[in-house]
Amino acid sequence: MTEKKCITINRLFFSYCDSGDVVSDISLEVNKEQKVAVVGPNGSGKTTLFFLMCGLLKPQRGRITVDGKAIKHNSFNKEVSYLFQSPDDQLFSATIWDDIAFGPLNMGMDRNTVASEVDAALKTTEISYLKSKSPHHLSGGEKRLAALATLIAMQPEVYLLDEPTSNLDARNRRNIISLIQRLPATMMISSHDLEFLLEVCDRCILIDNGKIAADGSIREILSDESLLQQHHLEKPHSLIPHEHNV
Amino acid sequence: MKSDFFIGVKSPVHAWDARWKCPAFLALVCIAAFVQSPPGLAAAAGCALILMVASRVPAAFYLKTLKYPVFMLVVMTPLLILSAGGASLMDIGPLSIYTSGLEWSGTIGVRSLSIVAMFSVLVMTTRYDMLVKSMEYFHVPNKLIFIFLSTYRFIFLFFELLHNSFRAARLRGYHAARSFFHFTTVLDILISLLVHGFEQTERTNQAMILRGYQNNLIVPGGGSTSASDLAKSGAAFSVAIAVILIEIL
Repeated sequence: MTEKKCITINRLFFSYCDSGDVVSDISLEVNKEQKVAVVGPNGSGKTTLFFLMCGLLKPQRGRITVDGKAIKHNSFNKEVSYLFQSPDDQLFSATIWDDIAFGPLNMGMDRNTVASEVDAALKTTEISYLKSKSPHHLSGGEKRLAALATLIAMQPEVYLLDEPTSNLDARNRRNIISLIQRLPATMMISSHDLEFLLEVCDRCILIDNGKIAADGSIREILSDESLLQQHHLEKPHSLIPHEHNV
Repeated sequence: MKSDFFIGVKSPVHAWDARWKCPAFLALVCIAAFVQSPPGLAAAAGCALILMVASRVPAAFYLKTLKYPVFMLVVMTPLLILSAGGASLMDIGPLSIYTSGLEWSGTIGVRSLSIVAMFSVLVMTTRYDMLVKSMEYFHVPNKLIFIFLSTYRFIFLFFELLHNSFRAARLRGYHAARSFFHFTTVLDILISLLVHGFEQTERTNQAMILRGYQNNLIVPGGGSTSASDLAKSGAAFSVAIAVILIEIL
């Protein structure tokens, strides 16, 4: 049985005006509801790839399609949503409820549908108690969950999550993990938290210097110590065999 | 930014629907800005005092807010009293105290303190999302609502960053007002915060585009109006009209 393709990227190139190619000849396909880890050292092009995939940047060459529909530059592509590294960039409305409603309202949903979508997103992220609060009154973990709820309410086909667990304590990190595991959607997740990626993803793409250096099963790639060292990464602790002293 | 510490207080001013409260307050503020006669000034000061007491916000907080116009008055009053011209009330050596200077000082003092007090009561007792909703209700242009919304949102982030930057600088030996070098440190911090603010605005704009924003801000929800809202606004407008009549007659 062949799995249905969701994201198709074909020979993608991008460079900022003052540098060489930040994304260089990237081609990949992601199946529906697949959760893909995107790893690589700082400045390897992960965030730039996400910006291209959601239409914030225009590729110099290449094509990105989601469910067969081409991603348009600098316009609203409702199939793709992007979680920013800092939730402060994403939350700007008066209350969390308004912030979550922002996307659905712009999508032209009627007020009743908006209300039910917002309530469902609040329930999924388990932050209903925050709905009347202002974003600046929330903790880091709460802000992150609220930012994720703003995406969930729009029901996108693809979630691009940029460092979703950075600066989170163990409890909030666990909340994000269980939320991502529960969401039946296509996801590409960029993170330096390799243990987290091992828990939520089945496939891994290693990017370095704007190119795909490896693509395959997450366990295989993150177990390959020499490959990881070559690209300035470290093998996750849980994949290192331990001797137990009794 | 302690203004929203008092948003949860239960008072008649807090319970006043923002769509009725904002125009009523604006009417009173306009009256306070233009009154000249002693009864008019007394009415403006009285309104400010009644609103402050009715808001149940601690007086100490209002006093902190009012210290800024008081500083301005401390600097301005002696200059006005000694240089206004006209009939002299008293001569002290080469200096004269003028009656018109005293009158102007009193008028400006009452006006500025009343206006700042009334604005403080409005900000302290109204949730910011309700202010946004009342702006939308009165068809304030979308761009203005967005500017208000962004300003309010980023002012918290700005002060947090400013506080953290000065704290980090202090940990590396910065001491305020010690030398010119430290003055340039302040400038460096402010410039870096401005750049940071610009970048953050750009990212927020990107986040909005990704959620379908097309220069048309849709504000959800709205409040309900009760009889007491109408009564409070009616009383405020009546006072405003009465003061106008006093000024004309």
